[in-house]
Amino acid sequence: MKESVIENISEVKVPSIEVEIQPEVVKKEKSRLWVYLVLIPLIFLGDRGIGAFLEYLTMSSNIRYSKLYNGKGEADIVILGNSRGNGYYEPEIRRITGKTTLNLSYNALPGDVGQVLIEDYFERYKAKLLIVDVSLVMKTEDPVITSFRPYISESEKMSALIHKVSPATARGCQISKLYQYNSELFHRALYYLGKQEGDWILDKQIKDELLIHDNLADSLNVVITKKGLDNLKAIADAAKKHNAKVEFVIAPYHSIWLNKIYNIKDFLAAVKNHTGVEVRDYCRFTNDKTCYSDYLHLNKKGSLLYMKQLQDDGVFALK
Amino acid sequence: MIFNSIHFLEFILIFIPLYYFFKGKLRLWFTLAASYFFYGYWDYNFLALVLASTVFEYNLALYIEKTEDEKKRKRLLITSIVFNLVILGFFKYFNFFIDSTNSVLGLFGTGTIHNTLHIILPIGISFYTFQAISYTTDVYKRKIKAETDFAAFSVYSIFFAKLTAGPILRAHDFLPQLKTDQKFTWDNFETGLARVLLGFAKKIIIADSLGSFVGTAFAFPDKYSSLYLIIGIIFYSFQIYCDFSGYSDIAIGIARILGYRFPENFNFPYLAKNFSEFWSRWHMSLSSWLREYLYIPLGGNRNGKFNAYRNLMITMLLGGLWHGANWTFVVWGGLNGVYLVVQRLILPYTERMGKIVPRQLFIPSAMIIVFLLTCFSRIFFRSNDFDSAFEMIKGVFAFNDMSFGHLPNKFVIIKNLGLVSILMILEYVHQSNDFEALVLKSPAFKIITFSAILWMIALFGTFSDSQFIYIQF
Repeated sequence: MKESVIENISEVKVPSIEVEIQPEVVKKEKSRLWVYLVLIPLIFLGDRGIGAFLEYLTMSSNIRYSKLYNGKGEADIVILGNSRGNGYYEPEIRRITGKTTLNLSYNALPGDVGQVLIEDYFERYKAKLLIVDVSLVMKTEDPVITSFRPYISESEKMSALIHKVSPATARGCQISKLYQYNSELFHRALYYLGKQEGDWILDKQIKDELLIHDNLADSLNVVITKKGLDNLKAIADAAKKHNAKVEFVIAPYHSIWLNKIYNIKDFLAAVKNHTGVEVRDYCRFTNDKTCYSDYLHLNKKGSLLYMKQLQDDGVFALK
Repeated sequence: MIFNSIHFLEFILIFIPLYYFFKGKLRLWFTLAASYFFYGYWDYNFLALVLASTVFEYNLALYIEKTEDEKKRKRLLITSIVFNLVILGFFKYFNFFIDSTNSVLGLFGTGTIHNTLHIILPIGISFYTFQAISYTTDVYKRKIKAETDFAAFSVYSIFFAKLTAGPILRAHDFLPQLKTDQKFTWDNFETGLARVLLGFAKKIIIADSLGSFVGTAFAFPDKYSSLYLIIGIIFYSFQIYCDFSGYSDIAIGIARILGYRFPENFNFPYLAKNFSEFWSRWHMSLSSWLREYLYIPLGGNRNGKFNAYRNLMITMLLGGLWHGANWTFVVWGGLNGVYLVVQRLILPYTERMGKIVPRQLFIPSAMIIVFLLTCFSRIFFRSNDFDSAFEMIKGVFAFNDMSFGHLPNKFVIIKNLGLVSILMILEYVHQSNDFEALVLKSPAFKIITFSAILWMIALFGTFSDSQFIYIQF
């Protein structure tokens, strides 16, 4: 009986399970697998590769910050300020003093970044004179701090500052090298590839209607912060430590603006008390409308006149 | 919750696997719960309103279908339309109505109405109510059957992928898709993902980058030269296009990943050669809604030219008002209505001109004219009030200081011009090549597209929490 069962079983035909897999589907899935095997490393390698090329471009640029970090920044006179600091027109200073000059000013440059730039400068080079336009510490904008991220590979201090004010930006730079160059400063660096910076000055004149009818609030004030004053003190100390002469100045304002700032004298006194450096006050240097591009900024004509005045007053005199 | 937020990324990463895990009815209820969560994340106070409205529309449509008496059916349809318009009117237009009334009363020197209500506009309400109106109208016209499955109807009403800014879905397109269990396919996933990435690229790389420039131009028209303002207005047209079409791409892409097909909302509008073509390419789901549920019921092209022009003007004026509770939107709609009417009036002359002028010259010229006039109308769309709009127009037509060298923010302008140029080249190429088909067919294209979009986002993206413009409508 048992044997017959076994015999029967051996005769049973097991139905085969046939799964019909189309060759096209197999080919498609294989190709899909290849795509992802290529895609994922490519995204990371491409990011690093293109990022390295952008770093090379940035450091080859003639923009002031690339010069600072690529070893070509040494100068007799170093200047620091916000957008108003660009009114210290570098080619003119070179012409009237015969000295090499590096202007590290930038639009809405925060005092924190100014401090890092000056400390980095004196770690790398020597200078005879540091001129700081103290209006630098009147306003701080975090986005401007993070826009200096193209230089974090060159400066530990800049990297630490960006990490402090915006951990997300710092993390973004770690994840993507390309994100490090997602900044207006990188675009400016590209612009000054193979081109000198001599055009960094405003060339227009303030609109007449802004002189007749201003849209300003009745009273404006300078927010005097301890942090800003600390930045100025650290900047002055870094220069003094390296035997550079320090000049604190404040560039001219048009009277329409200036007359509404009720505490500018308090600000200048606070700077003197905190840093021990007297501020040379040029706030009321001129009210000639042809010298201004707006209430706050001298144009090229105003800048040339202002530079001559600084020369006459001995601001550019070196140690 | 907005698409370009980390919360949405977390939400969608949890939602997609669970969506495919659930099957049948359970999937519908899960999608519904997720959609309510999505909406409630923004403001849970309005969940009750959405639920009440859904229940009301669901039952009303069933009742319309059951009713044989035509008069009664019509009354029920009117009830539905009035119900939706009252919701829309109260939340969106109440303050506008009070302010406008006060302005008129002020002219006569009489007292004004004191408005003590501080009404918050529920997000996506304009899209939601229009979709509801189209549904009951279609049931009334017996174009579709009233939906009996409450879960399916609710998902159709409040599906998170299209809730905040469309596209406005038609019941006959979307409800049948909800009735079948969509299976996960890599083709859907990849084409959907490519579309989502494209949408993010448009929003983060172009729209947000243009936005900061546009913001300064419109905020201080008296401070900048005419050239700066002209660039600002042109950039605004690209900003709003990339912002809204980017949103639509993300919505369409998410739906595709989930196995659904949403209708297209844009079809290269800035390549339009006339205004009718522009409106058949721009915000297509709204344009077709207005045509089907407003323009045609008003009489459409029937009953002579004058009535057709009148209907066109009414449609465009109301279309303008739909965008926002401000007379500037009405003027924007009106201007576009005038463009359409004038285009019809001068059609014989333009046709004759088209035969005389070489095609290579005529078509680009027509595109540029349509684009520039569209840009002009958008001054009213973007300005907060008429004073700002006229200040802008005054600044532009003063034609003072047209030198590029004198422009501030040149780097930003050059970057944005570069981005806009890349966009237009891609649009032009894309017009004759099916993006989705290329993603599916060519592995090399897929690799290049995915990598390039991610690199571009890293290198040019603006990473802020900026809202999509059309969410406010």
